[in-house]
Amino acid sequence: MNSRDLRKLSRRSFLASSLRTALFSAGAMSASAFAQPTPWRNWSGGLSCQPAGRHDISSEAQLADLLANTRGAIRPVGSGHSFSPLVPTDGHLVVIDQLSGILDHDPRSLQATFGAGSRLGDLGAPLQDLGQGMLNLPDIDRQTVAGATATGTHGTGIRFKSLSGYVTALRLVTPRGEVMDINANDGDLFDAARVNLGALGVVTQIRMQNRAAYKLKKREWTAPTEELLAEFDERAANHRHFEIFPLVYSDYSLALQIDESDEPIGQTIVPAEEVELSDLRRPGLQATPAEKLALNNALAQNAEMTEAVDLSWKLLSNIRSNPFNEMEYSVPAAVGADCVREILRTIYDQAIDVAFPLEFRYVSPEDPWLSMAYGDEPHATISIHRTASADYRPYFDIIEPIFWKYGGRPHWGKIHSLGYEQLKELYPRYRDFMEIRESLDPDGRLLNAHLRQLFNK
Amino acid sequence: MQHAAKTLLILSLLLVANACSSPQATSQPFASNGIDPAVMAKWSRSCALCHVDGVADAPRVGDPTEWRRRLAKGEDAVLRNVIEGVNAMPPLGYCMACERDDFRAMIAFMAGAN
Repeated sequence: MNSRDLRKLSRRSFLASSLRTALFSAGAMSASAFAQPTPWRNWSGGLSCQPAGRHDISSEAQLADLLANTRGAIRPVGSGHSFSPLVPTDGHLVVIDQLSGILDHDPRSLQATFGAGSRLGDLGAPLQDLGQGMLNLPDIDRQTVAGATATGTHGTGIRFKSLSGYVTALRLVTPRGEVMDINANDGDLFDAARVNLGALGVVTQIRMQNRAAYKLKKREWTAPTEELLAEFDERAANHRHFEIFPLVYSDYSLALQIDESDEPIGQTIVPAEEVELSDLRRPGLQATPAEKLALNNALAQNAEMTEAVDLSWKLLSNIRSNPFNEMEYSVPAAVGADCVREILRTIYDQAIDVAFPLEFRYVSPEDPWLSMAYGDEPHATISIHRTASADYRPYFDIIEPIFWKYGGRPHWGKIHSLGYEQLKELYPRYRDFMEIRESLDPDGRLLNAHLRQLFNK
Repeated sequence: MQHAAKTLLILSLLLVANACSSPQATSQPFASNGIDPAVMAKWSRSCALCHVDGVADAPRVGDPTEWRRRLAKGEDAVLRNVIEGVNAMPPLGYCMACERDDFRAMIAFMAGAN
Protein backbone atom coordinates (compact mmCIF):
# COMPACT_ATOMS: atom_id res chain seq x y z
CA MET A 1 0.00 0.00 0.00
CA ASN A 2 1.52 3.32 -1.00
CA SER A 3 1.12 6.71 0.65
CA ARG A 4 -1.61 7.78 -1.75
CA ASP A 5 -3.64 4.71 -0.86
CA LEU A 6 -3.12 5.41 2.80
CA ARG A 7 -4.37 8.98 2.37
CA LYS A 8 -7.45 7.69 0.58
CA LEU A 9 -8.02 5.19 3.32
CA SER A 10 -7.64 7.83 6.00
CA ARG A 11 -10.19 10.02 4.25
CA ARG A 12 -12.62 7.17 3.93
CA SER A 13 -12.07 6.25 7.55
CA PHE A 14 -12.85 9.81 8.57
CA LEU A 15 -16.03 9.88 6.53
CA ALA A 16 -16.99 6.54 7.95
CA SER A 17 -17.10 7.90 11.44
CA SER A 18 -20.60 9.20 10.86
CA LEU A 19 -21.82 5.67 10.35
CA ARG A 20 -20.32 4.09 13.39
CA THR A 21 -22.99 4.52 15.98
CA ALA A 22 -25.88 3.87 13.65
CA LEU A 23 -24.53 0.77 12.02
CA PHE A 24 -22.65 -1.05 14.71
CA SER A 25 -23.76 0.15 18.06
CA ALA A 26 -23.12 -2.25 20.87
CA GLY A 27 -25.45 -5.18 20.73
CA ALA A 28 -26.79 -4.17 17.36
CA MET A 29 -26.13 -7.58 15.86
CA SER A 30 -29.14 -9.72 16.45
CA ALA A 31 -28.79 -12.84 18.49
CA SER A 32 -30.12 -14.97 15.66
CA ALA A 33 -27.11 -14.25 13.50
CA PHE A 34 -24.79 -15.83 16.03
CA ALA A 35 -26.94 -18.55 17.46
CA GLN A 36 -25.90 -21.14 14.88
CA PRO A 37 -22.43 -22.57 14.35
CA THR A 38 -20.61 -21.40 11.25
CA PRO A 39 -20.89 -23.84 8.34
CA TRP A 40 -18.17 -24.49 5.79
CA ARG A 41 -18.95 -23.99 2.11
CA ASN A 42 -16.87 -24.43 -1.00
CA TRP A 43 -16.18 -21.69 -3.57
CA SER A 44 -19.16 -22.47 -5.78
CA GLY A 45 -21.49 -22.82 -2.79
CA GLY A 46 -22.57 -26.27 -3.89
CA LEU A 47 -20.98 -28.09 -0.96
CA SER A 48 -21.37 -27.43 2.72
CA CYS A 49 -20.80 -29.09 6.05
CA GLN A 50 -20.88 -28.38 9.74
CA PRO A 51 -17.49 -29.30 11.17
CA ALA A 52 -17.32 -30.08 14.85
CA GLY A 53 -14.16 -28.02 15.07
CA ARG A 54 -12.22 -25.54 12.99
CA HIS A 55 -8.49 -25.51 13.56
CA ASP A 56 -6.53 -22.52 12.29
CA ILE A 57 -3.11 -24.14 12.26
CA SER A 58 -0.13 -21.87 12.91
CA SER A 59 2.71 -24.41 13.11
CA GLU A 60 3.62 -27.97 12.25
CA ALA A 61 3.97 -28.69 15.92
CA GLN A 62 0.42 -27.56 16.57
CA LEU A 63 -0.79 -29.68 13.69
CA ALA A 64 1.12 -32.76 14.84
CA ASP A 65 -0.26 -32.32 18.33
CA LEU A 66 -3.80 -31.96 17.00
CA LEU A 67 -3.53 -35.10 14.90
CA ALA A 68 -1.89 -37.15 17.62
CA ASN A 69 -4.13 -36.10 20.47
CA THR A 70 -7.61 -35.83 19.03
CA ARG A 71 -10.09 -38.42 17.95
CA GLY A 72 -12.53 -38.47 15.11
CA ALA A 73 -12.52 -37.51 11.47
CA ILE A 74 -10.14 -34.92 10.07
CA ARG A 75 -10.20 -33.16 6.74
CA PRO A 76 -7.73 -30.54 5.55
CA VAL A 77 -9.03 -27.63 3.48
CA GLY A 78 -7.21 -25.29 1.13
CA SER A 79 -9.17 -22.44 -0.36
CA GLY A 80 -12.33 -24.46 -1.03
CA HIS A 81 -12.06 -24.50 -4.81
CA SER A 82 -12.80 -28.20 -5.26
CA PHE A 83 -16.22 -28.90 -6.69
CA SER A 84 -16.07 -32.53 -5.61
CA PRO A 85 -16.84 -33.25 -1.94
CA LEU A 86 -13.27 -33.84 -0.81
CA VAL A 87 -13.60 -31.52 2.18
CA PRO A 88 -17.03 -31.88 3.84
CA THR A 89 -16.74 -33.39 7.30
CA ASP A 90 -18.56 -33.34 10.59
CA GLY A 91 -15.20 -33.81 12.31
CA HIS A 92 -12.17 -31.58 12.54
CA LEU A 93 -11.61 -29.12 9.70
CA VAL A 94 -7.91 -28.28 9.45
CA VAL A 95 -7.12 -24.90 7.91
CA ILE A 96 -3.52 -24.32 6.86
CA ASP A 97 -3.73 -20.71 5.64
CA GLN A 98 -1.06 -19.65 8.10
CA LEU A 99 1.44 -22.17 6.76
CA SER A 100 2.22 -19.97 3.80
CA GLY A 101 4.91 -18.03 2.02
CA ILE A 102 8.26 -18.86 0.47
CA LEU A 103 10.23 -20.73 3.11
CA ASP A 104 13.47 -21.08 1.18
CA HIS A 105 14.81 -21.02 -2.34
CA ASP A 106 17.85 -22.08 -4.32
CA PRO A 107 18.98 -19.77 -7.13
CA ARG A 108 21.07 -22.54 -8.70
CA SER A 109 18.47 -25.27 -8.96
CA LEU A 110 15.66 -22.70 -9.28
CA GLN A 111 13.63 -24.55 -6.70
CA ALA A 112 11.66 -23.02 -3.86
CA THR A 113 9.84 -24.38 -0.83
CA PHE A 114 6.38 -23.02 -0.11
CA GLY A 115 4.17 -23.21 2.91
CA ALA A 116 1.48 -25.58 1.69
CA GLY A 117 -1.28 -23.14 2.54
CA SER A 118 0.13 -20.51 0.16
CA ARG A 119 -2.29 -19.35 -2.45
CA LEU A 120 -0.80 -19.58 -5.92
CA GLY A 121 -1.65 -15.97 -6.68
CA ASP A 122 0.31 -14.80 -3.65
CA LEU A 123 3.51 -16.51 -4.76
CA GLY A 124 3.99 -14.89 -8.15
CA ALA A 125 5.36 -11.52 -7.05
CA PRO A 126 7.72 -12.73 -4.32
CA LEU A 127 9.01 -15.49 -6.58
CA GLN A 128 9.58 -12.87 -9.28
CA ASP A 129 11.62 -10.88 -6.78
CA LEU A 130 13.78 -13.97 -6.29
CA GLY A 131 14.25 -14.34 -10.03
CA GLN A 132 12.00 -17.38 -10.30
CA GLY A 133 8.70 -18.18 -11.95
CA MET A 134 6.55 -21.29 -11.70
CA LEU A 135 6.74 -23.39 -14.84
CA ASN A 136 3.00 -23.43 -15.33
CA LEU A 137 -0.13 -22.49 -13.42
CA PRO A 138 -3.75 -23.58 -13.35
CA ASP A 139 -6.54 -21.22 -14.27
CA ILE A 140 -7.62 -20.17 -10.78
CA ASP A 141 -4.94 -18.51 -8.68
CA ARG A 142 -6.77 -18.56 -5.34
CA GLN A 143 -6.08 -22.26 -4.90
CA THR A 144 -3.54 -23.27 -2.30
CA VAL A 145 -0.42 -25.15 -3.30
CA ALA A 146 -1.55 -28.03 -1.10
CA GLY A 147 -5.03 -28.18 -2.58
CA ALA A 148 -3.93 -27.82 -6.18
CA THR A 149 -1.29 -30.54 -5.93
CA ALA A 150 -3.46 -32.87 -3.85
CA THR A 151 -6.02 -32.90 -6.65
CA GLY A 152 -3.61 -33.07 -9.60
CA THR A 153 -4.60 -29.62 -10.79
CA HIS A 154 -2.92 -28.65 -14.04
CA GLY A 155 -2.47 -25.86 -16.52
CA THR A 156 -2.22 -26.02 -20.30
CA GLY A 157 0.54 -27.35 -22.52
CA ILE A 158 1.58 -30.65 -24.00
CA ARG A 159 5.09 -30.11 -22.64
CA PHE A 160 3.88 -29.22 -19.15
CA LYS A 161 2.99 -31.48 -16.26
CA SER A 162 0.44 -30.73 -13.60
CA LEU A 163 1.63 -28.75 -10.59
CA SER A 164 2.13 -32.10 -8.85
CA GLY A 165 4.60 -33.09 -11.55
CA TYR A 166 6.89 -30.24 -10.48
CA VAL A 167 6.87 -31.13 -6.78
CA THR A 168 10.37 -32.20 -5.79
CA ALA A 169 9.72 -32.71 -2.08
CA LEU A 170 6.97 -32.31 0.47
CA ARG A 171 6.42 -32.56 4.19
CA LEU A 172 3.50 -34.61 5.43
CA VAL A 173 2.08 -34.81 8.94
CA THR A 174 0.41 -38.19 9.22
CA PRO A 175 -2.80 -38.91 11.14
CA ARG A 176 -0.60 -40.26 13.95
CA GLY A 177 1.15 -36.90 14.17
CA GLU A 178 4.40 -38.09 12.60
CA VAL A 179 6.26 -35.63 10.39
CA MET A 180 7.58 -37.14 7.16
CA ASP A 181 9.84 -35.45 4.62
CA ILE A 182 9.22 -37.11 1.28
CA ASN A 183 11.16 -36.75 -1.96
CA ALA A 184 12.08 -38.74 -5.06
CA ASN A 185 14.33 -41.00 -3.01
CA ASP A 186 11.19 -42.35 -1.37
CA GLY A 187 10.04 -43.90 -4.63
CA ASP A 188 6.47 -45.15 -4.41
CA LEU A 189 5.61 -42.97 -1.44
CA PHE A 190 6.69 -39.90 -3.41
CA ASP A 191 4.59 -40.86 -6.42
CA ALA A 192 1.60 -41.48 -4.17
CA ALA A 193 2.00 -38.31 -2.13
CA ARG A 194 2.23 -35.82 -4.97
CA VAL A 195 -1.47 -36.31 -5.79
CA ASN A 196 -2.84 -37.39 -2.45
CA LEU A 197 -6.47 -36.17 -2.21
CA GLY A 198 -5.68 -35.10 1.34
CA ALA A 199 -5.96 -38.78 2.21
CA LEU A 200 -2.41 -39.51 3.40
CA GLY A 201 -2.02 -36.77 5.97
CA VAL A 202 -1.82 -33.00 6.04
CA VAL A 203 0.86 -31.49 3.80
CA THR A 204 2.63 -28.51 5.37
CA GLN A 205 5.47 -27.72 2.95
CA ILE A 206 5.95 -28.27 -0.75
CA ARG A 207 9.15 -27.77 -2.73
CA MET A 208 8.75 -27.15 -6.44
CA GLN A 209 10.93 -26.95 -9.50
CA ASN A 210 10.64 -23.49 -11.03
CA ARG A 211 12.53 -21.65 -13.76
CA ALA A 212 13.99 -18.20 -14.29
CA ALA A 213 11.36 -15.47 -14.13
CA TYR A 214 9.81 -14.77 -17.52
CA LYS A 215 7.21 -12.88 -19.48
CA LEU A 216 4.53 -14.24 -21.75
CA LYS A 217 2.51 -12.98 -24.68
CA LYS A 218 -1.09 -14.11 -24.95
CA ARG A 219 -3.19 -14.08 -28.12
CA GLU A 220 -6.91 -14.78 -28.17
CA TRP A 221 -9.05 -15.07 -31.27
CA THR A 222 -12.06 -16.90 -32.60
CA ALA A 223 -12.00 -19.36 -35.48
CA PRO A 224 -14.05 -22.31 -36.69
CA THR A 225 -13.80 -25.17 -34.21
CA GLU A 226 -13.04 -27.76 -36.90
CA GLU A 227 -10.22 -25.60 -38.22
CA LEU A 228 -8.74 -25.27 -34.74
CA LEU A 229 -9.10 -28.96 -33.99
CA ALA A 230 -7.36 -29.82 -37.27
CA GLU A 231 -4.36 -27.67 -36.40
CA PHE A 232 -4.47 -28.34 -32.65
CA ASP A 233 -1.55 -30.79 -32.50
CA GLU A 234 0.68 -28.56 -34.58
CA ARG A 235 -0.08 -25.46 -32.52
CA ALA A 236 0.27 -27.39 -29.27
CA ALA A 237 3.70 -28.56 -30.40
CA ASN A 238 4.90 -25.19 -31.66
CA HIS A 239 3.66 -22.88 -28.93
CA ARG A 240 4.27 -22.88 -25.21
CA HIS A 241 0.56 -23.07 -24.47
CA PHE A 242 -2.36 -23.62 -26.79
CA GLU A 243 -5.95 -24.39 -25.91
CA ILE A 244 -9.42 -23.74 -27.23
CA PHE A 245 -12.77 -22.93 -25.67
CA PRO A 246 -15.36 -24.46 -28.02
CA LEU A 247 -18.49 -22.34 -27.94
CA VAL A 248 -21.71 -24.26 -27.47
CA TYR A 249 -24.39 -23.76 -30.13
CA SER A 250 -21.69 -22.48 -32.45
CA ASP A 251 -19.25 -23.68 -35.07
CA TYR A 252 -16.59 -21.46 -33.48
CA SER A 253 -14.14 -21.61 -30.63
CA LEU A 254 -11.98 -19.13 -28.83
CA ALA A 255 -8.31 -19.96 -29.28
CA LEU A 256 -5.76 -19.05 -26.64
CA GLN A 257 -2.08 -19.19 -27.51
CA ILE A 258 0.73 -18.17 -25.20
CA ASP A 259 4.47 -17.90 -25.85
CA GLU A 260 7.45 -16.43 -24.10
CA SER A 261 8.07 -12.82 -24.95
CA ASP A 262 10.55 -10.01 -24.39
CA GLU A 263 8.08 -7.36 -25.54
CA PRO A 264 7.04 -4.56 -23.17
CA ILE A 265 4.19 -5.35 -20.82
CA GLY A 266 0.91 -4.15 -22.24
CA GLN A 267 -2.29 -5.00 -24.00
CA THR A 268 -2.99 -4.18 -27.62
CA ILE A 269 -6.75 -4.40 -27.40
CA VAL A 270 -8.53 -3.89 -24.13
CA PRO A 271 -11.43 -6.30 -23.78
CA ALA A 272 -14.89 -4.85 -23.26
CA GLU A 273 -15.99 -4.31 -19.72
CA GLU A 274 -17.10 -7.36 -17.82
CA VAL A 275 -20.63 -8.45 -18.64
CA GLU A 276 -22.83 -9.92 -15.97
CA LEU A 277 -23.45 -13.61 -16.23
CA SER A 278 -27.17 -12.91 -16.08
CA ASP A 279 -26.86 -11.43 -19.56
CA LEU A 280 -26.52 -14.96 -20.80
CA ARG A 281 -30.21 -15.29 -20.13
CA ARG A 282 -31.12 -12.61 -22.61
CA PRO A 283 -34.20 -13.55 -24.62
CA GLY A 284 -32.13 -13.73 -27.77
CA LEU A 285 -30.11 -16.55 -26.32
CA GLN A 286 -33.17 -18.57 -25.33
CA ALA A 287 -33.94 -19.38 -28.91
CA THR A 288 -34.00 -22.77 -30.60
CA PRO A 289 -30.66 -24.52 -31.10
CA ALA A 290 -30.65 -23.53 -34.77
CA GLU A 291 -31.37 -19.89 -33.94
CA LYS A 292 -28.64 -19.88 -31.30
CA LEU A 293 -26.21 -21.39 -33.77
CA ALA A 294 -26.87 -18.72 -36.38
CA LEU A 295 -26.62 -15.90 -33.85
CA ASN A 296 -23.48 -17.19 -32.15
CA ASN A 297 -21.74 -17.86 -35.43
CA ALA A 298 -22.46 -14.36 -36.67
CA LEU A 299 -21.17 -12.83 -33.47
CA ALA A 300 -18.10 -15.05 -33.30
CA GLN A 301 -17.12 -14.16 -36.85
CA ASN A 302 -16.87 -10.53 -35.83
CA ALA A 303 -15.03 -10.97 -32.57
CA GLU A 304 -11.73 -9.15 -32.24
CA MET A 305 -8.36 -10.64 -31.55
CA THR A 306 -6.73 -9.54 -28.33
CA GLU A 307 -3.10 -9.64 -27.33
CA ALA A 308 -1.40 -9.00 -24.04
CA VAL A 309 2.15 -9.21 -22.68
CA ASP A 310 2.73 -9.61 -18.96
CA LEU A 311 4.65 -11.41 -16.27
CA SER A 312 4.08 -15.16 -16.49
CA TRP A 313 2.13 -15.50 -13.26
CA LYS A 314 -0.21 -12.68 -14.24
CA LEU A 315 -1.09 -14.22 -17.60
CA LEU A 316 -1.34 -17.87 -16.66
CA SER A 317 -3.70 -17.67 -13.72
CA ASN A 318 -6.71 -15.61 -12.73
CA ILE A 319 -9.21 -14.76 -10.05
CA ARG A 320 -12.66 -15.88 -11.16
CA SER A 321 -15.52 -13.70 -10.07
CA ASN A 322 -18.43 -15.67 -11.53
CA PRO A 323 -18.85 -18.88 -9.52
CA PHE A 324 -19.55 -22.06 -11.42
CA ASN A 325 -19.44 -25.82 -11.05
CA GLU A 326 -17.24 -27.88 -13.28
CA MET A 327 -16.67 -31.41 -14.51
CA GLU A 328 -13.35 -32.26 -16.13
CA TYR A 329 -12.04 -35.52 -17.51
CA SER A 330 -8.81 -36.40 -19.27
CA VAL A 331 -8.86 -38.67 -22.28
CA PRO A 332 -5.96 -39.86 -24.44
CA ALA A 333 -4.94 -36.92 -26.64
CA ALA A 334 -5.50 -38.99 -29.76
CA VAL A 335 -9.26 -39.12 -29.12
CA GLY A 336 -9.68 -35.71 -27.50
CA ALA A 337 -11.02 -33.95 -30.58
CA ASP A 338 -13.61 -36.68 -31.17
CA CYS A 339 -14.74 -36.40 -27.56
CA VAL A 340 -15.18 -32.64 -27.91
CA ARG A 341 -17.16 -33.09 -31.09
CA GLU A 342 -19.49 -35.59 -29.46
CA ILE A 343 -20.12 -33.31 -26.49
CA LEU A 344 -20.89 -30.33 -28.70
CA ARG A 345 -23.19 -32.43 -30.84
CA THR A 346 -24.98 -33.82 -27.79
CA ILE A 347 -25.58 -30.35 -26.34
CA TYR A 348 -27.07 -29.24 -29.64
CA ASP A 349 -29.14 -32.35 -30.31
CA GLN A 350 -30.57 -32.46 -26.79
CA ALA A 351 -30.99 -28.68 -26.60
CA ILE A 352 -29.20 -28.59 -23.25
CA ASP A 353 -29.64 -25.21 -21.59
CA VAL A 354 -26.03 -24.11 -21.24
CA ALA A 355 -24.02 -21.11 -22.40
CA PHE A 356 -20.59 -21.73 -20.92
CA PRO A 357 -18.03 -22.88 -23.48
CA LEU A 358 -16.09 -26.11 -23.10
CA GLU A 359 -12.36 -26.04 -22.43
CA PHE A 360 -10.00 -28.31 -24.38
CA ARG A 361 -6.26 -28.56 -23.68
CA TYR A 362 -3.34 -30.97 -23.51
CA VAL A 363 -1.17 -31.97 -20.57
CA SER A 364 2.10 -33.87 -20.50
CA PRO A 365 2.40 -37.46 -19.27
CA GLU A 366 3.68 -37.67 -15.70
CA ASP A 367 4.47 -39.99 -12.81
CA PRO A 368 2.24 -39.19 -9.81
CA TRP A 369 0.02 -42.25 -9.51
CA LEU A 370 -3.30 -40.45 -9.27
CA SER A 371 -2.55 -37.81 -11.90
CA MET A 372 -5.16 -37.71 -14.62
CA ALA A 373 -2.18 -37.65 -17.04
CA TYR A 374 -0.40 -40.62 -15.43
CA GLY A 375 1.39 -42.85 -17.91
CA ASP A 376 3.38 -42.52 -21.10
CA GLU A 377 1.01 -40.69 -23.43
CA PRO A 378 -0.20 -37.07 -23.44
CA HIS A 379 -3.75 -36.51 -22.39
CA ALA A 380 -6.37 -34.06 -23.50
CA THR A 381 -8.47 -32.57 -20.73
CA ILE A 382 -12.01 -31.43 -21.43
CA SER A 383 -14.09 -29.34 -19.06
CA ILE A 384 -17.74 -28.49 -18.95
CA HIS A 385 -19.15 -25.78 -16.69
CA ARG A 386 -22.44 -24.59 -15.34
CA THR A 387 -23.08 -21.36 -13.50
CA ALA A 388 -23.28 -22.00 -9.76
CA SER A 389 -26.82 -20.67 -9.51
CA ALA A 390 -28.15 -23.41 -11.81
CA ASP A 391 -28.47 -27.14 -11.17
CA TYR A 392 -25.52 -28.72 -12.94
CA ARG A 393 -26.77 -32.29 -12.66
CA PRO A 394 -29.04 -32.56 -15.72
CA TYR A 395 -26.23 -31.28 -17.98
CA PHE A 396 -23.37 -33.15 -16.35
CA ASP A 397 -25.38 -36.40 -16.13
CA ILE A 398 -25.84 -36.37 -19.90
CA ILE A 399 -22.23 -35.53 -20.73
CA GLU A 400 -20.34 -37.68 -18.21
CA PRO A 401 -20.97 -41.00 -20.03
CA ILE A 402 -19.35 -39.48 -23.11
CA PHE A 403 -16.14 -39.04 -21.14
CA TRP A 404 -16.35 -42.67 -20.00
CA LYS A 405 -16.75 -43.81 -23.60
CA TYR A 406 -13.36 -42.27 -24.41
CA GLY A 407 -11.62 -43.76 -21.38
CA GLY A 408 -11.85 -40.60 -19.33
CA ARG A 409 -10.22 -40.13 -15.94
CA PRO A 410 -11.87 -37.57 -13.67
CA HIS A 411 -10.19 -34.54 -12.17
CA TRP A 412 -10.23 -35.19 -8.43
CA GLY A 413 -11.28 -31.68 -7.52
CA LYS A 414 -14.15 -31.54 -9.99
CA ILE A 415 -17.52 -33.15 -10.14
CA HIS A 416 -17.73 -36.80 -11.15
CA SER A 417 -19.76 -39.82 -10.12
CA LEU A 418 -17.16 -42.58 -10.26
CA GLY A 419 -16.38 -44.94 -7.41
CA TYR A 420 -13.80 -47.56 -6.56
CA GLU A 421 -14.83 -50.14 -9.17
CA GLN A 422 -14.33 -47.74 -12.09
CA LEU A 423 -11.35 -45.85 -10.69
CA LYS A 424 -9.20 -48.92 -10.08
CA GLU A 425 -9.46 -49.66 -13.79
CA LEU A 426 -8.61 -46.11 -14.87
CA TYR A 427 -5.57 -45.56 -12.67
CA PRO A 428 -3.01 -48.40 -12.97
CA ARG A 429 -1.52 -47.71 -9.51
CA TYR A 430 -4.82 -47.08 -7.74
CA ARG A 431 -4.62 -50.11 -5.46
CA ASP A 432 -0.99 -49.30 -4.67
CA PHE A 433 -2.12 -45.85 -3.57
CA MET A 434 -4.78 -47.44 -1.37
CA GLU A 435 -2.19 -49.64 0.31
CA ILE A 436 -0.05 -46.63 1.17
CA ARG A 437 -3.11 -44.76 2.38
CA GLU A 438 -4.05 -47.62 4.68
CA SER A 439 -0.52 -47.83 6.06
CA LEU A 440 -0.52 -44.12 6.94
CA ASP A 441 -4.13 -43.88 8.08
CA PRO A 442 -5.20 -47.35 9.23
CA ASP A 443 -8.14 -45.95 11.19
CA GLY A 444 -9.46 -43.96 8.25
CA ARG A 445 -9.48 -40.67 10.12
CA LEU A 446 -8.92 -38.74 6.90
CA LEU A 447 -11.82 -40.38 5.09
CA ASN A 448 -15.12 -38.65 4.54
CA ALA A 449 -18.13 -40.04 2.71
CA HIS A 450 -16.74 -39.13 -0.71
CA LEU A 451 -13.34 -40.68 -0.07
CA ARG A 452 -14.96 -43.83 1.29
CA GLN A 453 -16.76 -44.12 -2.03
CA LEU A 454 -13.49 -43.64 -3.93
CA PHE A 455 -11.63 -46.19 -1.84
CA ASN A 456 -14.43 -48.68 -1.19
CA LYS A 457 -14.05 -48.25 2.57
CA MET B 1 -22.32 -5.43 -34.71
CA GLN B 2 -18.84 -4.72 -33.51
CA HIS B 3 -20.10 -4.13 -29.98
CA ALA B 4 -22.27 -7.22 -30.16
CA ALA B 5 -19.36 -9.25 -31.34
CA LYS B 6 -17.22 -8.05 -28.52
CA THR B 7 -20.05 -8.75 -26.11
CA LEU B 8 -20.36 -12.29 -27.38
CA LEU B 9 -16.68 -12.77 -26.98
CA ILE B 10 -16.86 -11.61 -23.40
CA LEU B 11 -20.01 -13.58 -22.69
CA SER B 12 -18.78 -16.74 -24.24
CA LEU B 13 -15.36 -16.49 -22.78
CA LEU B 14 -16.22 -15.88 -19.21
CA LEU B 15 -13.68 -18.54 -18.50
CA VAL B 16 -11.00 -16.57 -20.26
CA ALA B 17 -11.58 -12.88 -20.08
CA ASN B 18 -13.63 -12.49 -16.96
CA ALA B 19 -10.72 -12.50 -14.66
CA CYS B 20 -9.51 -9.91 -12.27
CA SER B 21 -5.95 -8.99 -11.85
CA SER B 22 -4.31 -10.81 -9.04
CA PRO B 23 -3.70 -8.51 -6.09
CA GLN B 24 -1.51 -9.72 -3.31
CA ALA B 25 -2.87 -10.31 0.12
CA THR B 26 -1.66 -7.42 2.20
CA SER B 27 1.25 -8.39 4.39
CA GLN B 28 0.88 -5.27 6.52
CA PRO B 29 -2.68 -5.04 7.77
CA PHE B 30 -4.26 -1.68 8.35
CA ALA B 31 -4.28 -0.27 11.82
CA SER B 32 -6.62 -2.62 13.59
CA ASN B 33 -8.06 -0.09 15.99
CA GLY B 34 -8.67 -2.56 18.73
CA ILE B 35 -9.64 -5.59 16.69
CA ASP B 36 -8.19 -8.87 17.88
CA PRO B 37 -4.86 -9.27 16.05
CA ALA B 38 -5.76 -12.87 15.22
CA VAL B 39 -8.91 -11.66 13.45
CA MET B 40 -6.94 -8.99 11.62
CA ALA B 41 -4.49 -11.65 10.49
CA LYS B 42 -7.37 -13.69 9.08
CA TRP B 43 -8.72 -10.57 7.40
CA SER B 44 -5.34 -9.90 5.81
CA ARG B 45 -5.27 -13.41 4.37
CA SER B 46 -8.80 -13.36 2.98
CA CYS B 47 -11.03 -10.27 2.82
CA ALA B 48 -8.11 -7.99 2.01
CA LEU B 49 -7.64 -9.78 -1.31
CA CYS B 50 -10.62 -7.91 -2.73
CA HIS B 51 -11.76 -5.31 -0.20
CA VAL B 52 -8.58 -3.21 -0.31
CA ASP B 53 -8.68 -2.48 -4.04
CA GLY B 54 -12.38 -3.03 -4.64
CA VAL B 55 -11.77 -6.06 -6.83
CA ALA B 56 -14.94 -7.22 -8.61
CA ASP B 57 -16.92 -4.34 -7.08
CA ALA B 58 -16.17 -5.39 -3.52
CA PRO B 59 -16.92 -2.50 -1.13
CA ARG B 60 -13.60 -0.96 -0.18
CA VAL B 61 -12.45 -0.98 3.37
CA GLY B 62 -13.37 2.23 5.14
CA ASP B 63 -15.66 3.56 2.42
CA PRO B 64 -18.89 4.61 4.19
CA THR B 65 -20.91 5.11 1.02
CA GLU B 66 -20.26 1.64 -0.28
CA TRP B 67 -20.78 0.01 3.08
CA ARG B 68 -23.95 1.96 3.90
CA ARG B 69 -25.65 0.37 0.90
CA ARG B 70 -24.63 -3.14 1.95
CA LEU B 71 -25.48 -2.70 5.60
CA ALA B 72 -28.88 -1.27 4.80
CA LYS B 73 -30.09 -4.81 4.17
CA GLY B 74 -29.56 -5.64 7.83
CA GLU B 75 -26.79 -7.32 9.71
CA ASP B 76 -28.22 -10.82 9.57
CA ALA B 77 -28.43 -10.52 5.81
CA VAL B 78 -24.87 -9.23 5.52
CA LEU B 79 -23.57 -12.12 7.59
CA ARG B 80 -25.60 -14.55 5.54
CA ASN B 81 -24.08 -13.05 2.38
CA VAL B 82 -20.61 -13.60 3.77
CA ILE B 83 -21.27 -17.20 4.76
CA GLU B 84 -23.18 -18.15 1.62
CA GLY B 85 -21.39 -15.85 -0.81
CA VAL B 86 -22.85 -13.00 -2.81
CA ASN B 87 -22.08 -11.60 -6.24
CA ALA B 88 -18.37 -12.18 -6.86
CA MET B 89 -17.59 -13.00 -3.23
CA PRO B 90 -17.34 -16.74 -2.60
CA PRO B 91 -18.84 -18.30 0.52
CA LEU B 92 -16.83 -17.37 3.61
CA GLY B 93 -14.90 -14.80 1.58
CA TYR B 94 -11.97 -17.21 1.35
CA CYS B 95 -11.65 -17.38 5.12
CA MET B 96 -11.94 -21.08 5.87
CA ALA B 97 -10.92 -20.52 9.48
CA CYS B 98 -13.43 -17.78 10.28
CA GLU B 99 -16.32 -18.09 12.68
CA ARG B 100 -19.32 -15.74 12.73
CA ASP B 101 -17.76 -13.50 15.37
CA ASP B 102 -14.69 -13.13 13.19
CA PHE B 103 -16.84 -12.05 10.25
CA ARG B 104 -18.75 -9.61 12.43
CA ALA B 105 -15.52 -7.96 13.55
CA MET B 106 -14.20 -7.84 10.01
CA ILE B 107 -17.39 -6.25 8.67
CA ALA B 108 -17.34 -3.67 11.42
CA PHE B 109 -13.71 -2.89 10.66
CA MET B 110 -14.25 -2.54 6.94
CA ALA B 111 -17.35 -0.43 7.42
CA GLY B 112 -15.40 1.98 9.55
CA ALA B 113 -17.05 1.10 12.81
CA ASN B 114 -13.82 0.38 14.64
